[in-house]
Amino acid sequence: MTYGLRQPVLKVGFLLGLTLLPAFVSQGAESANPPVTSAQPVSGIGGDKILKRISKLEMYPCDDCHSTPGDFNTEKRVLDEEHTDKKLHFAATDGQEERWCHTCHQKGNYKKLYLQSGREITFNETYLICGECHGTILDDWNKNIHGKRVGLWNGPREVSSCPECHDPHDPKFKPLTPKPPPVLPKGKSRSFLKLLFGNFIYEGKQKHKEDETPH
Amino acid sequence: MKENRNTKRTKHLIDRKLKKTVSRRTFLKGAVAGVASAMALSPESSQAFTIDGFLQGEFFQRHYQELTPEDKKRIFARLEKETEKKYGVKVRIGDPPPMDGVEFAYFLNLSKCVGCRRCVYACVAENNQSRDPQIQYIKVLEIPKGSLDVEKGDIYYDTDQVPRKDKFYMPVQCHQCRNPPCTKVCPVEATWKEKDGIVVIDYNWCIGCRYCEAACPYEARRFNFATPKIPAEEINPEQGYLSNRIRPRGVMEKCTFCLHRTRQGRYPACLEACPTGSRKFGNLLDPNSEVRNIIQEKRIFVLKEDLKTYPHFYYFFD
Repeated sequence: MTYGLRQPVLKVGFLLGLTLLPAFVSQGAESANPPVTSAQPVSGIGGDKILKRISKLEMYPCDDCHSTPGDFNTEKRVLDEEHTDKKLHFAATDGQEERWCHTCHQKGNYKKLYLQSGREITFNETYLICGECHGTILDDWNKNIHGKRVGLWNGPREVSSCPECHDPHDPKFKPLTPKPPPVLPKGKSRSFLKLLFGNFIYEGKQKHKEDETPH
Repeated sequence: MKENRNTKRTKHLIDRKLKKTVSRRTFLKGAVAGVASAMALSPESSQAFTIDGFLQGEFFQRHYQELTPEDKKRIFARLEKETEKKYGVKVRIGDPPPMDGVEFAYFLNLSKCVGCRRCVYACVAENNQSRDPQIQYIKVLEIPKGSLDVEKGDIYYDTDQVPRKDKFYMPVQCHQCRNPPCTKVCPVEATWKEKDGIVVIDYNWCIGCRYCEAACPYEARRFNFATPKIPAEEINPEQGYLSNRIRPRGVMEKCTFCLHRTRQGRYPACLEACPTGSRKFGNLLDPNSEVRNIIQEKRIFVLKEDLKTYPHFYYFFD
């Protein structure tokens, strides 16, 4: 354990594992993870192509560090040695004891993930794991209501899978720095506009309304 | 020698015009040719002025809907030349026609939009809007949660991070109404609705009266108060006659759903720039399209529906 996790590649893999796999561990699934099916190629939705994920993983493949059986620590714990940069929003650190690395990451093979059914998948198909809990969103994503697609509206598109926008270990969409606001009309300053249309009048209106309501 | 040739050419042109039956237009052309010939004779102006150029120029150009394919070819070539002269960039101007069986619709997910304004600047880059004075088609309103009152919206919000607490963001651009107030008020019919739902402007026919700007309830139209200033390296060379070619001074412009892209099957530029995937675009007549899925699955609404503009632009919540 000690040696393997110091390697950056291993860190990422282990972290990914942490986020996705907690359920299995709590069930004492030490021995119960036979891969049911081998990973299938990323096919896509109605001719659309799902962006592949593996090439973007910093520390992939994980067996650079996690290679021998000793490199797979199954003990549920707070990660303070390696993979400390990843925040696990739904893992042990969050008070939700039932999920951690090995809920999603393969014990013994961090290059793969596995679903609750035991089916083994690659990192290109992480949307299947996300969809196990967020089923309605996966539905929307399949229908191109949720998520980003670029390309042709009447033809093949490039589909972003979940981790393109959501950190798998901390999925809330991160705040962005906005682009600059439009320039003001000449001779106008922000405070002037605010005085005319902004909080001043708005708050005044609100107050007025409250006064009018019958007690 | 040169003078001689110019004189001969002018005479020939005038003769040709006079032999034709005289309508108001050809009469005017003849008169102009006369003036032009006088100018051509003076040596200092002979270089800068060509009669052909003037006769085929903007002054005698017909309305876009009356143009033959040959007219268009000639006009586009002229505009390309003018642009190159003015901005020093080689551009290609085309006019993809509306596709059959297609009615565009745009959907915007207000639950997902974070107000980062990426769409605004992608639009500016794609559609060659003037950088100074600044023209932007998309206004992103920051509205306090709890109401949908656009009058409480603020487009000038300036902050380090979005989304801000207790605010939501509502981008507004041209809604491509089915019942557009802007086209009704145009005194010269320089703006009209195409069959795929997009409201377009013939910039060479627009007289810049700004009636349409006043009529639009969505504040979608912009006026070119000055000749657009765009750095040469930022000019998008793939241009459409009715959409993103560089506008002259004194005409109206607005969002066209990037028709030079969408009529060739591509997504609008603002959609591809959105980091949240809250913008959705597609064909309303195709039952398998994403926009039909949204209509079936989500609660959608249109802005200011009481005005009965029936826009092609919808908002929805998750």
